[in-house]
Amino acid sequence: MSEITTQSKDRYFNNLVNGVKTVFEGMSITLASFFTRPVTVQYPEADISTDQTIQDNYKGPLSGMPPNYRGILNVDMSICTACTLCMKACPIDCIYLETVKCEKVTVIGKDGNEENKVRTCSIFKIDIGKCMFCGLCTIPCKPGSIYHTNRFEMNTQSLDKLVLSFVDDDSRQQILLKGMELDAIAEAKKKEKQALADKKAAEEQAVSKKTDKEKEPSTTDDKDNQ
Amino acid sequence: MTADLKTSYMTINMGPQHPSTHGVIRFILKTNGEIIYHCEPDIGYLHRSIEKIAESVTWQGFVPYTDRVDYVCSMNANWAYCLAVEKMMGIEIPERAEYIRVIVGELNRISSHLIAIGTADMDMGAVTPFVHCLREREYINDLLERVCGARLTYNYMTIGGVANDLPADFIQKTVEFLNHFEFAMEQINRLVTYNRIFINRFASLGVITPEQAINYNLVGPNLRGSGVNYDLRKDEPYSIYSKLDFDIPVGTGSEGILGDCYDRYIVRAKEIKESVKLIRQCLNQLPSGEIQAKVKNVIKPPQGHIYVRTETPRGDTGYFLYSNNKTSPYRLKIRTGSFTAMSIIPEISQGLFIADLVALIGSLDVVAPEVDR
Ligand code: SF4
Ligand code: SF4
Repeated sequence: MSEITTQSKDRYFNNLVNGVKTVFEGMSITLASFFTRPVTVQYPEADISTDQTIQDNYKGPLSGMPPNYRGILNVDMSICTACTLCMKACPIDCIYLETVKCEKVTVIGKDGNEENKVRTCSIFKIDIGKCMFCGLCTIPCKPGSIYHTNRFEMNTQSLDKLVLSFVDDDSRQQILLKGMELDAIAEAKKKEKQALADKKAAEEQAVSKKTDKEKEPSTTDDKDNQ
Repeated sequence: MTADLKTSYMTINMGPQHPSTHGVIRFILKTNGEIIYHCEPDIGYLHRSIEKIAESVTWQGFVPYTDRVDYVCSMNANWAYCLAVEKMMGIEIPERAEYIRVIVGELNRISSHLIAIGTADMDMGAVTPFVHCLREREYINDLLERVCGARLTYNYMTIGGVANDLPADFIQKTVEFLNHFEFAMEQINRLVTYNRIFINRFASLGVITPEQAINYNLVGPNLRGSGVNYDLRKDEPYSIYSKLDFDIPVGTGSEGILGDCYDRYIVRAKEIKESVKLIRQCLNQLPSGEIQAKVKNVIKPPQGHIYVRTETPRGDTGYFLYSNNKTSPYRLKIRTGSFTAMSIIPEISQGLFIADLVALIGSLDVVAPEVDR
């Protein structure tokens, strides 16, 4: 009986000592972190958009947003060749674009390669409310015209403000008019070509008929001769 | 008189918005006073029908959805899916891409385990270690953000390699981080893992025997916590794991009974160290060269099916793909570790206190979106 009580007494005191010891150990670590630099970024005060800007208001070890941060999308319409690959790559269909013909120009992409541009976008819309910032649309874009910016603050009070349009109404009118003009020209050219081709075909036919006619009697002659 | 008075079990809803359920899961408890008589997990609150979505998006377009299956370790989820499609199409990926995959995957494993042990501590009422863990995780987020441009839903791996190369200062920054992190992890361990009060709280609690663990198909650290040495990185090596040198920590029942909450906890804490070792090796051996194999813009894997498993932080994640030579999968099935971990809770929780159930859930490291998908 007495043995058991001494044993349990020992355990009790052991636990007590251990408990106090570990509490002190934990406290020492907690106290030590009082003297380290705070890691927390005071976000609205510290501009976190780049490594340089973050340094003004923040002295901690974390860094600002990297240049390849996948934020809100932007499109550089001057180098977009309207290839619609980005629209096809997006898994949730949040890019919508319509294309029309334009004057043939050569654009220089972000990576320095030249691309031929024969069509242009009359509508280019991205629904940022739906976009999941996955970056899949930027991969197939050859000139690099669709790209992520490091903007991420875009709170609005209505959903339709989240639909970004990269072609404004005025230029859309012009683009459409130009497209129609070019279409008309192309149509006229096509017709001309068609007419030319028809004429040629007719002529050829006539010629062949003539030769046939010329030949026919001769063949009959030949036959007669035989 | 007292013989006529009947007692009955009280039904309590724990969740869906309970802080210890790590997401939206509901437990229907039948309690006998403070003791649980029966516990029924009610899942499905986070179901987003990701498997069905797969049938309407392209093969590459599904990669960002795998991020959302388990957002705590999206890099590993990307990896599992991409590996499955690559195996199906017989794509060889460049060696540099393999090394990069291991580096980012193991970094993500560390951050996931930090969340696991941090939340387990927080469920036990220790909030300080949680903050320490999240602070360290923030460095990893910073590193991965530099690599791929996002902090949580990385979408970094592509079919045939990785999306972009490592930034120039990545290796130096990662080595700096690892040097700092080894010290910080030791502090976290001193703060909680070797803390007598914490050990007494976790040891001999929620014991899962090795037989039970295998029968219920537990995977990953939960299985190894029960003393079963099974890790796909060693037993069925994929990528370049067969070339790398690392150990698999298993539970030993050092503080209580084999397979208790503390074993599962300490396995995770030890695995973090192994991951650090792996990353160091990969950084030393990192070859130069291509990062992306030649893959067409629109891919159509040949007719057939495949099941590929990888070891993610929450255990064995499997992707079953069925292709009928079209631009999107005919059927896709995801198998995750958290789901089986949920199924063992009714059996283990019988007879536990309600407060101990919180510890059990914390030690199983269940992530709700991974359960429901
Ligand atoms: S980032 Fe992803 S979701 Fe957003 S528009 Fe591009 S492809 Fe679509
Ligand atoms: S992929 Fe690029 S070039 Fe093609 S339509 Fe989209 S933004 Fe324009």
